[in-house]
Amino acid sequence: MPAPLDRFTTTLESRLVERHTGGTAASVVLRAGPRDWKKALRRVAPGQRLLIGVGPEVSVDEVVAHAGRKRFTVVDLVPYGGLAGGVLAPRDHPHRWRRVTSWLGEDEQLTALATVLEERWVPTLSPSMAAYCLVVADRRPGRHGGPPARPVPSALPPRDEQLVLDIEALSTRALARYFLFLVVDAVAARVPHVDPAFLLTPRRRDEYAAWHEIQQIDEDVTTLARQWSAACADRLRDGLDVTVAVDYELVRQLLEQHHGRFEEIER
Amino acid sequence: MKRPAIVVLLPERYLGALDGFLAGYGRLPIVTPGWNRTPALEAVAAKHRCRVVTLETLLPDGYDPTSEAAAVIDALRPHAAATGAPAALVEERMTQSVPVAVELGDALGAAQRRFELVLLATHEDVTATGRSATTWAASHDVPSLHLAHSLAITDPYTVHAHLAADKLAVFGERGAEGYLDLGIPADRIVVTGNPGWDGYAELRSRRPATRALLDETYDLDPDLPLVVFATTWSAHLTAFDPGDVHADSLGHFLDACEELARAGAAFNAVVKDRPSNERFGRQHFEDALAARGTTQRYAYALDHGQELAVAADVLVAVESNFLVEAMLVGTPAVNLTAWATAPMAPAFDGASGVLQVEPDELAGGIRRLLEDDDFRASQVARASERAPYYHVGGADGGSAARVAELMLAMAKPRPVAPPPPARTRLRRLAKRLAQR
Repeated sequence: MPAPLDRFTTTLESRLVERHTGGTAASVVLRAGPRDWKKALRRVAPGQRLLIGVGPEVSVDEVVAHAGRKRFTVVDLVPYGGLAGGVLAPRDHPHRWRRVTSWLGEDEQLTALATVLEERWVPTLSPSMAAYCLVVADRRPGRHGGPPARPVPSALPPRDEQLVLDIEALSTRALARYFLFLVVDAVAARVPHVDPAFLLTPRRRDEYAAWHEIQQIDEDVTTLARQWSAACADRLRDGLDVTVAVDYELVRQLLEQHHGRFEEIER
Repeated sequence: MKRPAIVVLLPERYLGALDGFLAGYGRLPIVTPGWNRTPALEAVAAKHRCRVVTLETLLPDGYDPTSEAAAVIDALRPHAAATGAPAALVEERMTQSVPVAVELGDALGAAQRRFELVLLATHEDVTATGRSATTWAASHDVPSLHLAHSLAITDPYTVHAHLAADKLAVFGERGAEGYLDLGIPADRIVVTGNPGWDGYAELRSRRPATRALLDETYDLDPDLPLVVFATTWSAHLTAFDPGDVHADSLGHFLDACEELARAGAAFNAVVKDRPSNERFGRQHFEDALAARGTTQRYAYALDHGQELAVAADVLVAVESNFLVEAMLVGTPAVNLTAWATAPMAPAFDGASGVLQVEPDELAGGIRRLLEDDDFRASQVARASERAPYYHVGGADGGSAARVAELMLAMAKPRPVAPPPPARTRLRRLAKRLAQR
């Protein structure tokens, strides 16, 4: 994971742990692998709280079931790390994503927006949508544990209007807005049938739609320039496709004249 | 056996690499289009006793690209009409550009019949010439190198989103990012640096003298700091382009300077325009000043780009390679962002030490860099530390040598002459014996 994103996720994790220790002594094991979490369960005294942050290679269901058998009550499951490989992270253009997230901790608005998404939206998702999940479990004095205190959601949570307004307020600068649109795209790619604008106010929805429209125009002119002559075998002269010379000016003129992109410009 | 030759489509600022290549490879003809046969190219050729062969002279007398291209244009006409875009638009482009490719392909073909073309080196593979040349090389077993004309800090879009040459030489790892994201294999991209920036190795150590030269040339106040704005332009090659970023961004800079002047800040302001804007740049600059009724004094420069990068106390530009130059020479850099019609990926990363501002934050950004010594020092330190990621070797002056090395590694080996007949060998032996 790139360093700024890793640092951001570690900060989230620390705050999450602090919130769930509830001022009492707790045993904490983070980024636990398949062997670590079982060991952790054995070290907790009756009445004590255990926090296990498990990674993507660990089944949260298995941890919950096992904890139940070991006289734990699972009081909460908190998914986190949506950006660190979870549902908020794009799967394509990895260098671009690394560059965008390199501003976490550097750009105030971007960092605040990412924090709001991670702390207020990601925890409401199914653990399978995040890179990590914090399992909060209390060891009961009695023989048997109880079921999880909160059902695990299976779909996206209902729209939270206050969250959507806060997201708008934290995406007034272009960098944060770009990050937001990438994140919305990533969720839409990962969750079938979701309305891609579920995290956006009407204003941001319009901007998001315009952003897509602009990308689509670029894709359309590029495809047209690359393909318009493909079916013409005679375009090859002594092995050279002589139509490659057309692309540069053709793209410019398609944008200027066909799509009318720069109409207001006189020169 | 054919003699080796190299095809060169490199601008003057990259000729240091050709110089290094010729030193290593040895004498061979340089094949280039007439418009690229500059005095600087002639000088490099003369230094290595190489002949310059103009591509057009290899074509038969009376060669007419338009009539040569007529048949293929006829064949393409129905395809132009079926694009969904206005047929006249596609046809017009086709009629103008196809003959360029036909002529270049024919000339390169003639060159290949006469010479063993060991390498084709170009600084771009997007326009009619660069794209046709690299595409021709790929289908004619000629190794081709695209020495990037700039660091791709904006992810490659539309006409830029491909690699036609065998290999792409980039200034620093940062320049590879966009191409790797397009799925272009890493082994086709080589980090060499920009030969055009080799001069910074020496120039950066002459800051006071450089500043004095600028003070003299542009009538600047030597006692005041120097704030430079490097202009940009709108290529109209992406729908993200609002149309006239040159005027928009110049306006933002002037507004920021006026705001600073009103607040009592005293500084020299220089607008460094692109040489390609020469035709209209000064007039637009003066119009923009008149429209604002400015109080701050401004100088306008078309030249001295590298000197301004070295001597500036703050350099402002719009997602420009100029900012990378500032990183190399320890000049505080401000990137004016949010110029596009919709948000775009950041050009710089968070560790770059390049301050990112939107138009309404520009005055504050300049002021902070001029007045807050700790902030300024920290930005410069971060930029210096990160610079090698943007330009390999920082300002070590070794880029021409690195490109030359790559050219030597890519070029076909010099054809080995077959041994002379036995009679000739005996004659030479007899001559040597006679000389003893």
